[in-house]
Amino acid sequence: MMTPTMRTWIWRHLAVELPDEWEMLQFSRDRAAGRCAFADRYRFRLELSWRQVAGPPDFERMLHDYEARLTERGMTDGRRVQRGAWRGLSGRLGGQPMTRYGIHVPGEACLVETVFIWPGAVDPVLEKNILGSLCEAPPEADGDRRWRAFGLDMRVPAGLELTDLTVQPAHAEAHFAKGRTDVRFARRGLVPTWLRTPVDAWLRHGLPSDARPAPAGTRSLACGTHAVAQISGLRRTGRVFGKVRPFRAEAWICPSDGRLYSWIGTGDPFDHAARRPLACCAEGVTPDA
Amino acid sequence: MRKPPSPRAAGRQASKAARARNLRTPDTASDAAPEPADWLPTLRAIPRRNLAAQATADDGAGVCLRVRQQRPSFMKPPLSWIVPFKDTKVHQLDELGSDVWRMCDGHRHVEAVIDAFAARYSLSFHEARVAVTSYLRLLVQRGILAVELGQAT
Repeated sequence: MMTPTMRTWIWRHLAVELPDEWEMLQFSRDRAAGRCAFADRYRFRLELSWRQVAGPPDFERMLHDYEARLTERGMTDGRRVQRGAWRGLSGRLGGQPMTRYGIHVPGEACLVETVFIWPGAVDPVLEKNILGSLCEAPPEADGDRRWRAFGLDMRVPAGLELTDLTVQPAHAEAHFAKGRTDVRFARRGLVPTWLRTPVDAWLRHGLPSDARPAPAGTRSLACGTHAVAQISGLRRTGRVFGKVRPFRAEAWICPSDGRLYSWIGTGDPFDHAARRPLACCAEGVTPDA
Repeated sequence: MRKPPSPRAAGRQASKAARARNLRTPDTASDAAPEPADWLPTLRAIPRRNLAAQATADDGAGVCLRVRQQRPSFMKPPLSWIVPFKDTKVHQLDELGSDVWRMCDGHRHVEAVIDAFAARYSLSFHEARVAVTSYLRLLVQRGILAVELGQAT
């Protein structure tokens, strides 16, 4: 069996490597409990769910309960399985092979569960690779947390939470915020069909209404093969007593996939010119300017 | 002249409808498996052009389609004296929509149309799937295309 090319996804500080063809079709933003579902081109293949727990669960009891529930729902050939620290169940549900595993991730204080759906027979190598790759994504050296999904490779300052996420064909946009600090990342496709202005003009036009670019705050940078438009300045919230916060925004078209990447960060963490929290490809824009 | 939204806009509408569901967090533990895929029969279907739809202009920018309308039973005098009935409806497709129309040659499956669309516009398979299938649905609703369902494998 051929080993597929793998791609790393990082969601809610959990990293996993999945076949390149698999895409995330369902997601939850909730940090305490949620799930993501990945599909190949024909069907759902993996569900990844998490739940915050106070301590390691009683796996024996949990598996016993699951087994009883699934048998009630018609699971056949049910048996206990273990892959490294992952413990789970395998069986057939609706005639389809299915394996499910659980693990406690102490760093994130959560219980992570995976459900694999196999279209034909179970692929033990792929299953082992995926389970082996699933781990907690540690903070970066500067404390940033990395998120990687929908073509966006994001470095989010510590403490910021995912507050909004829009995923549409050729448009993914994520917003992280906490208090007066926020950052918005976007990746847009089909660029030649809608972008009628230079990237720097598009970026300037899309700034929030309270953003005031600094006189020397508009620059064009060359990052490898990428031309990056950058605008920095101040944002004032409120007319009289509003607090002034620095902002920085960048946009570029990545030559390797033709997509328009952009981000705008507001607050002190984005006051450093060397910080670039969004990356597109290995050749061009990297996290550090 | 009616202008259907582009595949991108059609996909956006479909995503908006699905978004609430996508963002919902399940309340219980994960003993429920992901929902079964419901897009496989769609991929195996073959979109066929309505023979009565005439492409009247294709200058590279967009296709203009004229589709004959069936006269509704209520459209008779005296109503038809006041509201004139047009027996032909004109649909102007934009650049992306025209590409989808051209790819629907009666031989390709929806999956092949999606693959071609994804390759042409550098989209992932599922991005193209949402955009193309929602657009095909629109074209079917407007009588421009018919979809022949195939056998799911």
